[in-house]
Amino acid sequence: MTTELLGYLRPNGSWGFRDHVLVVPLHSALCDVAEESALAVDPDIVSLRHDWDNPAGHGDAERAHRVLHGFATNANVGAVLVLGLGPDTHSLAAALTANSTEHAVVRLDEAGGFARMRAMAEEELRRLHAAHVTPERQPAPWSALCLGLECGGSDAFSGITANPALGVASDLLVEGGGTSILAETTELLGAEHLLAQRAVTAEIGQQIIDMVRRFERDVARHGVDLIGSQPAPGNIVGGLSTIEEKSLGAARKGGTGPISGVLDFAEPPSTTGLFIMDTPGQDIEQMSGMVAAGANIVGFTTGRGTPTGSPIAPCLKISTNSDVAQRLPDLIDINAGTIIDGSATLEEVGAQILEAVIAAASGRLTKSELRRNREFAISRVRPMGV
Amino acid sequence: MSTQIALLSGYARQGRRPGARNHVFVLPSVVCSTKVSRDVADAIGAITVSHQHGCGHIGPDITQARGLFVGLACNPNVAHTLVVSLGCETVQGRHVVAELEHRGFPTPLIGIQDAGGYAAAVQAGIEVGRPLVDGLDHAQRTPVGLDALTLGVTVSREDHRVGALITAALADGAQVVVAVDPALEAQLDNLVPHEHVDVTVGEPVTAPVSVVRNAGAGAQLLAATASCGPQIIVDFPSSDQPPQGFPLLPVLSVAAGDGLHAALSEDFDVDALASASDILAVAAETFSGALTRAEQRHSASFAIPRLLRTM
Amino acid sequence: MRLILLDSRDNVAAAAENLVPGAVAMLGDTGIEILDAIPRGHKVALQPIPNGADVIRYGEVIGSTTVDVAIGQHVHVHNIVSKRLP
Repeated sequence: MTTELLGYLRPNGSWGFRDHVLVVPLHSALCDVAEESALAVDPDIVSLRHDWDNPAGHGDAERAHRVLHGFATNANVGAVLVLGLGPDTHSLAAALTANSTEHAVVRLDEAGGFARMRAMAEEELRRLHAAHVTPERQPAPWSALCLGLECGGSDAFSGITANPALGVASDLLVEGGGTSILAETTELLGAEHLLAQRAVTAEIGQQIIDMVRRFERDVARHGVDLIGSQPAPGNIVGGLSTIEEKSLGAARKGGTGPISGVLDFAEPPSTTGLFIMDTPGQDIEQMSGMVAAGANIVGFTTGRGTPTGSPIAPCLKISTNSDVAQRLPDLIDINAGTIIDGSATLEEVGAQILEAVIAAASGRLTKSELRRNREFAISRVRPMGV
Repeated sequence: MSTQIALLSGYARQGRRPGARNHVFVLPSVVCSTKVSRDVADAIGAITVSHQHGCGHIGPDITQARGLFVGLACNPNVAHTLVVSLGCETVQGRHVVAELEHRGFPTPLIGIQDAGGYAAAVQAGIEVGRPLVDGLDHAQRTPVGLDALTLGVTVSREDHRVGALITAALADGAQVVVAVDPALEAQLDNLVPHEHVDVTVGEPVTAPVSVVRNAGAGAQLLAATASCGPQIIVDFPSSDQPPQGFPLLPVLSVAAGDGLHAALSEDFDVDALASASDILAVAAETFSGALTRAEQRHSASFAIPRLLRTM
Repeated sequence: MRLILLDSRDNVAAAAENLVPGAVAMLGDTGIEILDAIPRGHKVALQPIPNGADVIRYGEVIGSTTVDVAIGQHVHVHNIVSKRLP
């Protein structure tokens, strides 16, 4: 490994690889105030946009809050402006204090209206931004890295080139003391028995099986036909015929190493190692769940090509085939299609990916960061509230 | 009871009711194309929406999201639509365009994967969209009767003015489309005592009073209702929720007397004491061009009504 | 005209490039006569797969056929279904 890993050591002992000033609107009606305030102060300030309007007693409320809180306390974030309606801001403010993250809070009820809130938000953000000093980067151990493993716009090559190559990188990272998160329960259905065999304990192996079974039961309970949704239309054009086939290819992102645990959606891993997280396969919900749990960098394979990125974590796009890398060059950071072309081996591309992960973490901006693709989503599994 | 204003002024549309606004709508069929859509819309002066889905839907959510997108593009406030797709998504942009053509609205489509990536898609979107926006320069409002109004009403709390508002609108010859929070389902006949037909998200309304089914809750009600064709919406948010706007059409927010609303008096268009006929008078002015509070602060929410979990 | 075999137990392989009917695609030293148009990345049957039999890729079951499939035919959503989801 030629590149040194350099990161920001945070007061709570965790390592970040970006130093974002982040605006977190806790309610969808505040997303415009958040965005306008951020743009007024500095274009590099990140503000989240979502559709969560915090209905009273909603079954997804805890899940939504875990994501919003997880983003605010992610080590890639150096300072936070919280915007809320009123008492909804308490628990996040307390979490930020406990995390020693510089922050400010503006409440709509205390502001007494949107115009006043907009002015206060900009004032607080200007103050936070001016006062915040980005720390010096220092050499970081690989245990500082938490790599989110993702695939989107998959095709038949995903399981042959980019996913196994990302798996090689993940294995190297975990062997070196780091953490990886494999997710997308939908796209593990058909491969779960292979993953269970790699669990460090029989109990964890059973948790993997149970996680997929729960998902299957949930789908069966709704009685819906999955034609048109999994595999998605683009997957089918790309050659994937069934969810099992897609899953067997998707699971390869997790490499071959032991699996240390199963995480709930947006639950932080308790140790280093390779973990499986229970998330939907939907690209942005999954990425949001992994980053909320502490993923500070994302490796994202794609066959069809997609521009999406994360608001606070560098997201490396890895193409499965050279055709998409050539046709859509501004979307792709690394091309794993060289494996099919014969110009590189799986191991070589895996090492190349790891090198890029270290470089991106240490400060090299990915293409999605340069474009400011900052997709974020609140994941709903009980949309009707119960 | 009629309002003082017998005439509205709106933008004439061929084959549709007149619009209260005159938008070019850049419609992303999937979350992955929202940034391209936003960059195109900003460059040419069009409007767009931001959402987090269009992919990962299952079963009836696919049909409903597609219906929502089609219905929004058909709204009278939209002069032209440009659909921006990624190419691989569940709610395919090309299916949205095909349905719009079927309804008589030829609609251009930009696909990020087909166009050659992000920059190429933005460039293509600007090239196709700019002439559509330039074409709006000569548009003029013309007088239209109150019977040209389709009034949207979204209800998230009990309020005695809802029924009176619908009655007043009907008396002036308008048609009404209503969506009610699921928690108020049991009170539907009290809130809307009028004879009504049920419609689905995206279905154009023709009856005097229609109720949108599976409209979701909160901000989702606005999108669901807008997709059925009203030019303006009168919103009755619950007292713990703030007033919200919507990108394509003016939303008149009616304050409850208590809760969060008491702290936000300047952000509501109608206060807790106004009568139903007051509301209808404000609605008429809004139709004819007066900006709502949300429009003045350039604030809009967009939430897709959902039936099922994501995959 | 290459085919990509992932596991020796597989009864399908992926086309490395677009294949046309009549072409002969190579799997190592063995030639497979292609019967259908096969887009790049899509699967070709390496053996006859009877109706209802398992389709094997990555050494694992990825679904079952819905008709009899001959060697060299395109295996995809028109003749394979998932065994796990409705």
